[in-house]
Amino acid sequence: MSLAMPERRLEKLSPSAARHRPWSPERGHALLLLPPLLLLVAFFVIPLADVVLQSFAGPGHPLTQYERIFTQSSTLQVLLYTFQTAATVTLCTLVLSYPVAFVVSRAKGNLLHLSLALILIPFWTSTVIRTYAWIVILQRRGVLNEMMLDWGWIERPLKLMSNGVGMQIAMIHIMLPFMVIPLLNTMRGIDGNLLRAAAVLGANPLRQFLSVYLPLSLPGVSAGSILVFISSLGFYITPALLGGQKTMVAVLIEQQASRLLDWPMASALATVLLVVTCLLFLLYERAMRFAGGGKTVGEVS
Amino acid sequence: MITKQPSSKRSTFDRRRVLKGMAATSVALTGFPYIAKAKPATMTVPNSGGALEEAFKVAYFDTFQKKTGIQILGAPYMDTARVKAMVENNAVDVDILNIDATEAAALARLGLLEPIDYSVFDKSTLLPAAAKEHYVLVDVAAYIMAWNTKTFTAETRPKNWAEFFDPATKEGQRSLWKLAPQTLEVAAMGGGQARDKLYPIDLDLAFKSLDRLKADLTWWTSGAQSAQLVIGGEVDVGTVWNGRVFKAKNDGAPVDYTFDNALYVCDSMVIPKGAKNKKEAMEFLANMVDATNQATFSKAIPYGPVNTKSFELLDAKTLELLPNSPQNGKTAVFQDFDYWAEKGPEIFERFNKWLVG
Repeated sequence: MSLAMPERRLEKLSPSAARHRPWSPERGHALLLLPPLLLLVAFFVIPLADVVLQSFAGPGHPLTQYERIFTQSSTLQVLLYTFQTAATVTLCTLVLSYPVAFVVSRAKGNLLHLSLALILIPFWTSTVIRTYAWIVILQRRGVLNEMMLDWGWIERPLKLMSNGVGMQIAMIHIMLPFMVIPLLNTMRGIDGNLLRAAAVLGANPLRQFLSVYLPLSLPGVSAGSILVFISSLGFYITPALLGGQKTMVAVLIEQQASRLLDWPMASALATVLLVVTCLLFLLYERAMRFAGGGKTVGEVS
Repeated sequence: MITKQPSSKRSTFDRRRVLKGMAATSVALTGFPYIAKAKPATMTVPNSGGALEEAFKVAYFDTFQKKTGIQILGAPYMDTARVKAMVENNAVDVDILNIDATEAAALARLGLLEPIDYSVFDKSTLLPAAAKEHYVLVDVAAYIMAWNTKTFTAETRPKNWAEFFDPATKEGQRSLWKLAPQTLEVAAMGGGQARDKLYPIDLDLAFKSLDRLKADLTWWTSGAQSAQLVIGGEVDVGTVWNGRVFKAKNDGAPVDYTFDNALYVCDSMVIPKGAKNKKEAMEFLANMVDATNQATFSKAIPYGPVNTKSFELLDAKTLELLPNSPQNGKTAVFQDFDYWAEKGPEIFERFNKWLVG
């Protein structure tokens, strides 16, 4: 996750080249960073700062909006539900993606291309379309219920959507590529000889996996999980179409911003979401560093 | 079935329209500069898009261009947040726009709209509910009950909101819009509040109605979804906007609906504060509420006219589809948009609390 990471890699790969630098790559890199940095400051940092400032701007004392959020049990419950959902989706996506990424990382030639295509094509399909596809499958007279009724597995159609379950299934489906691709990236970099070495030293397959493969794949796990978790927090369309009674926080922000025109409140909700996400991210990185033996997320390998 | 919906609301502008706009602008700038000075060669009118814009074009845009020479360009829907940003940043580049009436009322309450100049057209022929100080209703749609015809017939369906909110009498899955406005009105009627005394809404009564349905309820959040829930059989009876189901019913989908005890919800036109071509905007509005043009509009899309003279210009087949035609409008009630502009925040809060509770 650190910006200097590629350079460190470079040093490891070719120490001699790094020692006699004909020009300073560091200075060169810094210059290359300038345009995207300006873009980010202009179109991301400044508007975001404006959002945070707005949250203190409403009528009453500066913290009025935050007082409202933290004294309203409903808002807190919505936040809690949002984080719970994001956590569930992240965990399920990880469990499903890990074996897929493992197999694909071992694949070669046409099989590799085919599996990458199978992962990426849904990724390029609109979220709305995939969500509607899930409605067709999950609804009461949908494909899945009709099939199970025909086969006599169930007697009455099950309620598979509008209750959180359907929403999470669709979210997991949409999030899968975001997990598989970072995992794949890390796994393809793992040296197979290390596993063979572990085997030579007497480790059984389980031990090989737990002591060698899993720790080496952790950077991919962490990158994928963070990506999926943070994207899930802001999901809007899928919860709106497949969700049940409970509300995700994005819907609440939309209500405040565009139905009630209460921008300070919408900004405060967005700020709370941002701060809590940052805190969780920091915590998570700490945990990963601990698990990776004292190194930061990006540099375990 | 999704593609058969009259259109998704808020569709965006397409390339052809942009090109037309560019062409018109360049003509204005190069060919006839003197016209551009006197009055705008084009005006941009943001609207809900899709089928609504097509109806707008036939009934209002084209007729206005014929009358004044000003070409009207459609543009993507501007929600309240964008109107607020536009007015507050002194960047008003839109003279008049089509917006949901509850949103118009909210904007009016915040002082972001120009008052309507009723000297430009005769408001006596309009429905009394249509002519507001800062916005004018331009069509009448309805929040109504629709059912899947595999479960219910017109005879066996819940015959009013009280039965809709009583799953013990009429068993079956229900659906409602997951938002306080409209849903709480029908819930209050379901609890027994009289429709002629609907405001202020008896919230306790409304939430008690919702409590009764909790176990059998599916929420929808978009118009296309509301129709799909009923047509696809996910629910047996639910609320929809009439524009979403009339075509599906015509095409033979298993859905039917009633205008009994309907709640009228409307599109309106507003002029943002600081609009540069106020005079032309008012002329455009006058052209919109004209009886003939209103009738043309209602023929193109099943939303009723606000000009009472328009009904006599419409045939029986069209009248049958309109929420506020003489035969359909007997038991309907207008939503009170200003009530929601005032009470919205606290009711939304209570509704959200009920949802998580």
